[in-house]
Amino acid sequence: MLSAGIDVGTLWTKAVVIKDNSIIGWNISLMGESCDQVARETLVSALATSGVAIGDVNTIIATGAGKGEVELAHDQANDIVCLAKGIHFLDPKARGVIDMGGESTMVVKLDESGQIVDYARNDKCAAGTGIFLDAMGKVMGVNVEEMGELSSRSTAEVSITSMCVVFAESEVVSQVHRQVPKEDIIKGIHRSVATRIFGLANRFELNGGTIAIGGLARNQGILSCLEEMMKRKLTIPENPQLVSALGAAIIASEKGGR
Amino acid sequence: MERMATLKTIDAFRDVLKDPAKVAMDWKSQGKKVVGYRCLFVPEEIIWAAGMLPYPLYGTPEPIRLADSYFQSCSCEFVRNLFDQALDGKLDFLDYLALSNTCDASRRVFDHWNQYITACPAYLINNPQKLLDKTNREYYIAELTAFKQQMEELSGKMITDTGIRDAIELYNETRSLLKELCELRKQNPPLITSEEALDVSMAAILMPKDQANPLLQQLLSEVKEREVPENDGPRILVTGSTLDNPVLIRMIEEEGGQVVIDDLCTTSRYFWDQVDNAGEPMESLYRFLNRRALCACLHPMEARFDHLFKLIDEYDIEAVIDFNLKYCNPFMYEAPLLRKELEAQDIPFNVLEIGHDMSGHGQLRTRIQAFIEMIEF
Repeated sequence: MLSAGIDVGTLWTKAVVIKDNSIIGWNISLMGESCDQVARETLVSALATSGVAIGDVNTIIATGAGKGEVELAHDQANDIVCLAKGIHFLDPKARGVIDMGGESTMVVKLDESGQIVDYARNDKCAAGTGIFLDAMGKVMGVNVEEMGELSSRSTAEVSITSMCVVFAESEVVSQVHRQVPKEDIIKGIHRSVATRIFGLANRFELNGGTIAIGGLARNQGILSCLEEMMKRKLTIPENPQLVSALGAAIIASEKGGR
Repeated sequence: MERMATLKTIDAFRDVLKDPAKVAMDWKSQGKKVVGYRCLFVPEEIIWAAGMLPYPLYGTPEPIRLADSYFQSCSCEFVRNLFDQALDGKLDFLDYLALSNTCDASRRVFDHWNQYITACPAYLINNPQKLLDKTNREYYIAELTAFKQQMEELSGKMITDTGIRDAIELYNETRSLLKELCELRKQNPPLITSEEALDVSMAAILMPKDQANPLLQQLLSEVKEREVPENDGPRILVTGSTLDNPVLIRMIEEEGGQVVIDDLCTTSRYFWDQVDNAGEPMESLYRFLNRRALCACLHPMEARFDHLFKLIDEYDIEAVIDFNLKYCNPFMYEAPLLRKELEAQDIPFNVLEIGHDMSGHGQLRTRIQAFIEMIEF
C-alpha cells in the first residue's frame, strides 16, 4: 500500500511517500503561486524515483499552512500532530521536538507512544525565528548560511537584547558602526534567538531525547547556545525539513485505502 | 562640557550599589531576616520595627531568560526581570516578599511568586487605588495592621508603638537628608548631577538607615563646599516608571541637558514626604501612605499633576521627559493626559519608551539630542 504526505509550508513544499512503513521517495520544492500545483509537482517528483503515478497512491494527506489548498489530498491533518508522528517514527525514544522554522517556533512534548503531551508555539512575534536571523544577516551583509561558522570565531560576545526585529536591527547597526567584529555581533544575535527558543522550551520539562528540526537547526551557533542553556544535547535528523510530511504520510497509511 | 570632580562619599554609595545582595547578606550574618519589597506603599517602618531589613528589589541589566517561559514578552520588563532573578536563585536570601496593590504587573508577580518561588512567601498589601480620600481610613488601617501582624509572626517579635515611632524617626531622617541633597539641585548650576543623585538615592534606600544617615550627612557637607562649572543647559524634569539604571539620565546630561529634579520611585517619590510622628503610629503611617507622592498607578491623577507642576515651578523647569519603561501600562496610559496638561502651559514634553536593559543606545541618543535641540531653539 502506498501513502503520501504533503507538507505545504510558507516557503517550501515537502512530499514524502511511504510503502509498508518505509520511505520510498521524497521531494522538496520552493513555494509557487498555486499551492495545489506545487503540491502536485512535488508529489510527482517524489514518486518519480520509484516509477509510480499519483493514481497508484492509496491515500494522500496534506498538512502545513497551505494544507487547505491541496485539492489532490484526500484529507488534511494538523501540523503539530504530523510533527509528532514523524518524530516518533524516526526516533521512538524522542520525548521532545523543537521546530525552529522561518516564521514559527514550536516545542512539542511526547510520551512513550508518541502522543502529544503538551506543546507551545511562539507569540505573534518574529523574535527567535528564522526571519529574525535573516533580517540581521541582511543588516550585516552576511549570508545566513555563513553565520553559524562565523560565530564560532567570536572572542568577545556582544549582548543583543532587543527582542523586536526592528529594534534589534538598530542595535546591530549601532554595533556595526562602532566597528565591533562581525563574529562577536553574530554570536550575540545567536544568543538572542536561542534565548527566545529556550523561553518556549522551558515552559515544560522535557525528559528524554530531544530533537531539533527546522532551518535554524542547521545553524551550529544557535544550536550550541541552545544546548548550553538547556543543558542537554539536541539530535538532528538527516532530513529535518521532511518530518511533518513524513508524519502526514504515516497518518495516511494508518487510514488505509480511500 | 567640563565635569565636576567625584566626591569620595559618592563612591562609597556607589560601592553599595555594585553589590546590592551584600547589604542583605551582611544583615543576615547577624541572624536577622530580610524582607524584600516593591513599591512605595509597603511601610518599611513596620518591617524595621520588627528587627528585619526592608530590602528594595532593583532590576539588573541582564537580559531576561527564565521568566520568558512564564510572562508574555509584552508584559512589564521590570517585573519580568525580578521574576527572572528569583527563578535563577539570585534572590534566595529573601525571607519574605511584600508587595503593594499598585499595578497589574505587581499583582500578578505576587500570584506567580506564590506558585513558583515557594521557599519565600509573598504578601500583597491591598492598599486602596484611590488615595487622598478620607473614606478609606478604616479599611487602610486594617490592611496595615494585618501586615503588621504578618511581620510579627515572621520575626517572632512584638511590634510596639515605640518601635514604630523610632523607625519613623529614623526613616524621616533619611527622607529629609535625601530631600536636602535634592534641593541642592535647585540652584543653577546644580551642586550634584542627576546621575550622582540617583546613585546616592538608590544606595540610601537599599542600606540600613542607621548606616545611610551618617553617610548622607557627610556627603551633604562635602557637596555644599563643592565647586561646580557653569552650565547653561536646559533644566529638565524626568518623571516616569521604575528607573534603576543611570543610562537614560547620563545620556540626557551628556547631550547638554540638566536633569535637576526627577520624580521617580527610586528618587524623590521615595523621600518627598515626611511621616507626622506625633499621633498614634498606625494612624501616622496611614496618613503618610494615603498622600505619599503619587505615581501613575494610583488615583487621583490631579494630585500627581499638581505635584509635578509644583516641582516645575520650584526647580525652574524648562522641559519634561517622561521615561516609559516597556511595557508599563500605567505610565503608557498616563502620557497623553500629562502631555495635554503640559502643552496647556507651553512646556515641551517628550515620552521616551525604553526597555529595562536600556539597549538601543544609538536610537535613544538621537531622540534625546533632537528634544534638547528643540528646547534650545
